[in-house]
Amino acid sequence: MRVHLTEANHDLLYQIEVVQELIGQATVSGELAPYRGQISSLCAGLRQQALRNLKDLSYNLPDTLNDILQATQGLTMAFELVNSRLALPIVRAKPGDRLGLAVLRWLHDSHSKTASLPFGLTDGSFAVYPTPQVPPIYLLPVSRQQTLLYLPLLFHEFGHLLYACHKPEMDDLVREFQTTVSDHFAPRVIRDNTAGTYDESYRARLVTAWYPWAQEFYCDAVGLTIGGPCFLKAFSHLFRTRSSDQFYVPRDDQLKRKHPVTWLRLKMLLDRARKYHLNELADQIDRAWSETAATIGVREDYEGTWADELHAPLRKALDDMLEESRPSRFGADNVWAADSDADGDDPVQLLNAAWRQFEQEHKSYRAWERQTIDAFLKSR
Amino acid sequence: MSEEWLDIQSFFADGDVLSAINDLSIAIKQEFANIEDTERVQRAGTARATLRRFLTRLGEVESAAENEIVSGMDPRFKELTDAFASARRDSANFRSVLMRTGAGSTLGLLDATDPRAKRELLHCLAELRRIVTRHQQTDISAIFEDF
Repeated sequence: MRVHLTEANHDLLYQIEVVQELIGQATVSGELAPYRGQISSLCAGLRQQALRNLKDLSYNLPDTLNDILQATQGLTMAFELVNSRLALPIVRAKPGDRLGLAVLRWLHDSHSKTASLPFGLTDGSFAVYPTPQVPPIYLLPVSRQQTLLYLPLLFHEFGHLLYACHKPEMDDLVREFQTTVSDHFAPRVIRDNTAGTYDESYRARLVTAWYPWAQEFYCDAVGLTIGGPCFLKAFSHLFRTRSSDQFYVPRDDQLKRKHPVTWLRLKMLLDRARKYHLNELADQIDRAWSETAATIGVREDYEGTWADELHAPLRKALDDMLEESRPSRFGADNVWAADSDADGDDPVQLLNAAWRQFEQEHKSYRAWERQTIDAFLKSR
Repeated sequence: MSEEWLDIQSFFADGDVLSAINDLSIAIKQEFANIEDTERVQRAGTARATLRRFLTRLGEVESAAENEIVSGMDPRFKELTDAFASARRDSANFRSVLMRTGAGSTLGLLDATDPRAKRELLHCLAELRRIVTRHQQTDISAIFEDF
């Protein structure tokens, strides 16, 4: 066993060195340099662990072989994560990343808790990995990286990072809301002396499901707060015609998912949009979703995972979470500025202008977008 | 908007606990064999701090019944605490002090100097590792499902 473990750790050392070499050779933009530094440090830590395992093996203590095997397995999985996920933003870096990276740089700079955090960008469905142990990586589908219309969805992903930065306080606020959910769905049948007819384990599963769901509602609220109309339009366009399960999901499937039903998320977003005086846009989008639902033949039904009485408590929880985390807030100046008055350096202004242009001039949009992206990147 | 991030967070959280278990277990065994290794001693100190935090949190959750509704907590950590509670009921396979008396009362063993207590701590660490490793397998399957 000792021989096998020695071989395995030598192999890991070699593989780590190859990744370190690839990371060192990659050409990355300035926005990605801090991320590269962080991942290089992480690789150095993995290398240290491999050397540590080899040193422990050198003592030749049979009693420790299982511990060293476990340490080797842990190192192997951590390395796989680096190799398959964390190194990608550096190794696959290309000039086209600059648009997304520039928006992310602005986003991180907009908050004191995130300004000094390195971050990476890579290909994938919209997501972020906001773990305390490694710098956040944002994932974007390839065409969305090179164009403007769906970049506002990064504001939602940034919400996950803000949540991670304020986790104890946010968890407390989510806990309060979960208690409200629990109380609301408490079995009234006890009062009717018919205890046992209510599925208590369902209530436990529902309350547990609301932990990640509350975070998603919060991230949507962060997205809207930062981006204003452009976020709402991007969100609506991405999901409205995607699939029927954006409108309706069977109860058991809902409980297994980390995301609430999209239609309910939209309803909460529209509520906040009206609070931000975006009434006309909210009404338009509300109608569009209702028409789509009618065409599919779906009626609004969350199958007992939601009740209208939860609306006000959820809105308050989200207000409190926004107050706690304080994301930047869009303003009339960066939403409605005429293109000629646009501040070329402001991504929120840029992304709102992009949606206006897209809605008004479909045919010439791509040419406008290319020119605008060039000007934006030159200004940075 | 991906579900993978919770799995990755959980993977790292479990990984920190497993590294601490490995480091402390190896350090105690090397100490028994009279091997002097300064880095090992330092790692053992860090491992004790990590395990103290983990066991304290586990002890807090333990006081609630398994089916009680727990809020404000990552569901993946709740699954780990459920697995721990389940192992505690399985006295045929889990017999350490940690399993017999719970996380809170095991904290004192972390700083034990008596060799017998240290052997008991090794037993606790080995059983805790079985539970956390099994829990981390779920994260690994979710993250690397193509393997």
